[in-house]
Amino acid sequence: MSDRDTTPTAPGESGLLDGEDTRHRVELVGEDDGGGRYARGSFTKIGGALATMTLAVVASYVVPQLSFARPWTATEPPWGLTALQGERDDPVPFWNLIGRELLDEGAAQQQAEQKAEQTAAIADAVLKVDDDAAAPLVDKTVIADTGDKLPPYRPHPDDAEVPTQTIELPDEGALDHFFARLARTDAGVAGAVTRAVHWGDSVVAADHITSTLRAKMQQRFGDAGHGFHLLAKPNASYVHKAIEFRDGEDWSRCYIINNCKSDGLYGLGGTTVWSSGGAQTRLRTSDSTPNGRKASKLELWYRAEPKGGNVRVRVDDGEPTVVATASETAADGWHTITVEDGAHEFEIRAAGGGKVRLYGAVIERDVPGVVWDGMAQLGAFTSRMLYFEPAHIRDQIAHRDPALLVFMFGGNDLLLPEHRLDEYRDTFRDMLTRFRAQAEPPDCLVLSPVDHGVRESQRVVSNPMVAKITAIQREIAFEQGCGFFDSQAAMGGDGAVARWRRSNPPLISGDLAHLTDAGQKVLGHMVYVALLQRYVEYRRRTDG
Amino acid sequence: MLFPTFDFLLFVIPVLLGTWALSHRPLPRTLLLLGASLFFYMAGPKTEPPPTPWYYVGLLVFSTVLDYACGLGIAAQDRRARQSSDGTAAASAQRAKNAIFAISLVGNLGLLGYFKYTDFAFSVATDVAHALGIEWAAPSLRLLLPVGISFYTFQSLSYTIDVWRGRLTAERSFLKFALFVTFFPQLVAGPIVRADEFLPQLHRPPRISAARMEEGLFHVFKGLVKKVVLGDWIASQLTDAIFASPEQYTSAELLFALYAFTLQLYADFSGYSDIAIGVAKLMGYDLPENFDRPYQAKNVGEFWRRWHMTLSTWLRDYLFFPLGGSKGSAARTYFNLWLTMFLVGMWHYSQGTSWNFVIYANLHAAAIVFNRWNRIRARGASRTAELARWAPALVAAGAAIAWLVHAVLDVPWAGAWVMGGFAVVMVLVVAWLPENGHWANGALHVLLTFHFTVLSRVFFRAESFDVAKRMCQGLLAFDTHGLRPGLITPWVGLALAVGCIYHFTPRRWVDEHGLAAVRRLPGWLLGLLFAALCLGLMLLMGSAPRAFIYFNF
Repeated sequence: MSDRDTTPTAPGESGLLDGEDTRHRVELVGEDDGGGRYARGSFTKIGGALATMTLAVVASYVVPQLSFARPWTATEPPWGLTALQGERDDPVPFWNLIGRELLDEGAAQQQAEQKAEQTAAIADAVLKVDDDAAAPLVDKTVIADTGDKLPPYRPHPDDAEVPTQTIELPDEGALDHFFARLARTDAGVAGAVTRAVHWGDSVVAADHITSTLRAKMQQRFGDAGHGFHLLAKPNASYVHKAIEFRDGEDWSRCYIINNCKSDGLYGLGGTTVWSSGGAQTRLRTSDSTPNGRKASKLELWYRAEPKGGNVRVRVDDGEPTVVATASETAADGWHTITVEDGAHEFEIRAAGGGKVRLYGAVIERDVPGVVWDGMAQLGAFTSRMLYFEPAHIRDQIAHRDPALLVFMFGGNDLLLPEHRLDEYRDTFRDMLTRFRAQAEPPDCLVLSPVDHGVRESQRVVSNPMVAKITAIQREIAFEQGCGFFDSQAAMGGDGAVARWRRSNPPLISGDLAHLTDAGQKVLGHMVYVALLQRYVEYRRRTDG
Repeated sequence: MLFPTFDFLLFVIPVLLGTWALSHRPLPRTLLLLGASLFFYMAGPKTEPPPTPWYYVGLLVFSTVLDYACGLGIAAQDRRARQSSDGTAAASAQRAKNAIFAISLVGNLGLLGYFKYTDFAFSVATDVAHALGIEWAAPSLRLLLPVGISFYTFQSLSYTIDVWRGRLTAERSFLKFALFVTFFPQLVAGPIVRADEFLPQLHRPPRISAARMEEGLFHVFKGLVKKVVLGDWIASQLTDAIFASPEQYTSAELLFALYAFTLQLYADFSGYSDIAIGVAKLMGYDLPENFDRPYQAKNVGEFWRRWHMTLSTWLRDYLFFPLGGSKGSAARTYFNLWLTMFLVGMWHYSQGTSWNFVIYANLHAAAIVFNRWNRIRARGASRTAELARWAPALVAAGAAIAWLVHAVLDVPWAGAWVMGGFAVVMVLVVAWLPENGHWANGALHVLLTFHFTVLSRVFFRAESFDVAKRMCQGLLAFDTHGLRPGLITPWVGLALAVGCIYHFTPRRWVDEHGLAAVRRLPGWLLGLLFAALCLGLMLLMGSAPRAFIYFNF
């Protein structure tokens, strides 16, 4: 059938592009003569409505009890009009002409624009690099661990980048243990693995900040494996890059922020899972990223219990290893399976014989390199970290043997009322002391919460609580001997949230609280550059 | 300036009073409205991001002067051509007429193209270079998009095109023409008013009566509720966060966000149009309706007749018909259909969205091409025989879609095959199910069209191609986490439910009953209701309405 000259028939007649052009010529004739008088009452209703609205607005300024309804207020009203006083500092009406041009607020706007351009430049530089497209990482040349002095530091191209924000230290040597281990890794000393364990709230939930740090540190110092991974998702946001994670749906699980285990034994990652049989998880090394492509061991983290069941661990298509979690006394346990260094898939399955309770698995390599554990605790207030049983988390961390603990909480704590800030100070201190209760605690680094925004009038401004929480975290970090990174300052200081939101692509999401993937990548890069700066300083200080 | 702001209230009350006071004095009234419109354009409130500086009004003035002069020039040359008995002189006049028209086209579309599409063209060039293995990055000019340029360019162009085609006489009065281009209610986000709709209104006194005032008030009230409650509030409570970090949400949540955004977008844009129409009516002028319950459409062609009607009919009348419409060969007709719908889609392009709108435009263009083919195709007696005949093509189409979804959107093969299969099933159902007959047929077509619209919104809403990809990956992951508790508050749920019910009721139910209610109420009570609504909006939104989504275009 030909379509020629065929016009669709009903019922599709109503389509936009059906039918024909039926428009006619229009003559612009006649002249507006102003017309005659309008009928009586033409303006009665609209006049009454406008008058009432105007009165309502005026009433909100005249009647103190109606002050909450004032549509425009200023903390310092112009021309001494105290009636306009209010808690909000609304921009002057018709701001683009009056505020920007006549009141010269354009200068401040221009400053903000310059900061925005700086942000854009950093973001452009960071985001244009497709880390995943790089070639697989090549291992360092390994040198024997003779205990001798390390070779002198050889500058690296990454050292040239000036950090947007430096890591503040309570004393010069606050991160020296971490840097000392990193130096051995950097030199390629056999077995020199430098581990960092990075806890945080939703800002690290999708593993973008942590994966950026992991990828960059591994690219710079060597890839010693993916690190710690949970065996089931505590929430849908639990995603790690550079590892393939499958199944895990059938495990029963308890996520620490739900306070669902009275014994406080949540494992290093904050989520414990259990099953009497059938539940399984598969973890596979990455085949699409430069890092995370190899593993030479899997370490299973579990709770040994008198009636503990068996876990079957299969590597690739090999014969499974059965790990018995039964034990006369209850205690945390670990079981390591070593394999040839390379790409592997690990299948971890509850194999009956009783209930097994697991904390997670570590995938690592025995080569000099960095491991950066991502421990997202989505939705966690800092206080939720105190649900960990003190000895349990102390021993979990001790077994992991990290050189650095990183904490990035505070996003949810911004919701706390101001009168509870003293309580927050204690909570934050308690968390750091609980996590660092080992005989020789690892170094630690506190990353303050990212800038959060609130909508005020037609603007987006920084949530004033960010600065307060940041100040408390800085104070406690210093008190506990930890390094401190001011995330808000790194983002550009007060008002950064608006600029990050406006960036293209946006670096902070529409809720003005969560960094977008791009934003997390940019911030992760900023932390990496700041860490490197301190590391280079350490090397220069200690090499002599 | 944004409608639901205190600034606008401060602005519009004196303008309304002045317009009414001068209603019998055409020249001062025109001058007042022209001045007010330019002030409206320049004096926006402090927003995030900040408005373009006031001097961007220069582009608007340039466009106005250019088209006014071109209109007169075209008319003069047309007169010369028609009155000349000398064939050579007539041909010369015709050439001059065409040249002047070309100046208008180049001037208007050049500005629009430069400000709106330059960065896109550069990013496309970069992507193409990368695809060819060339390491090259085009510069990013980071141009500010002048507010409303997509709207006033089309509006102004309608005038020169109509004058050139002899469908409209040229406007002699610069003031009238300038007011037509800049009339503030529709200046920055439509409806796109054509010269032949608005200029004649400036040649007669404004139509003011008590009944029209009530209609105006009703439109403004309806628009405010739509814009702020269903538009801004849903965005702030739900969709903004999900579209910002789609990988943090489940498949069901992403789908829910798409439904919510579909409603939000309708409320946002149609709310703006309602306010614009209402404010114009209060001053005695009529603007065309822009929406007619679009999600009740039974097919994509009908959807675009109901959605942003002033844009889609503009492109129909000024592009599709001049190209020959559906009068040429089948191939030519399908090309005309595709090009028109592609440009409708691309008109919506907003900065930074990369390939999103290319995909969005092609999806809708393909749908409308399919829609036409389906309606005029020869229908065989046996559906089984038809299916057998189509089977190879359907399998190939499903495989091609799956491959595209996998290769372009990086969706794993499992999800890509599901998408390919889903598309084939949708095509089959639409092709086989008559739109008339049993009411359920029509309802199913509405449901299918609605879902096509909802799913294609991924590319409309995502702020970058990368976000669109992650949305698709999340949607097609089919995880089993469902909707997590706490994400959708009862109030958001209620707002969405009310919005859906509102949209799927016959338009006259709301319009007739709402207008009747406004007619019954005394003015002071209406004023109180408006004040209470404004207060509610202020408290609900922290007095911070987002810019209308269509300001981006």
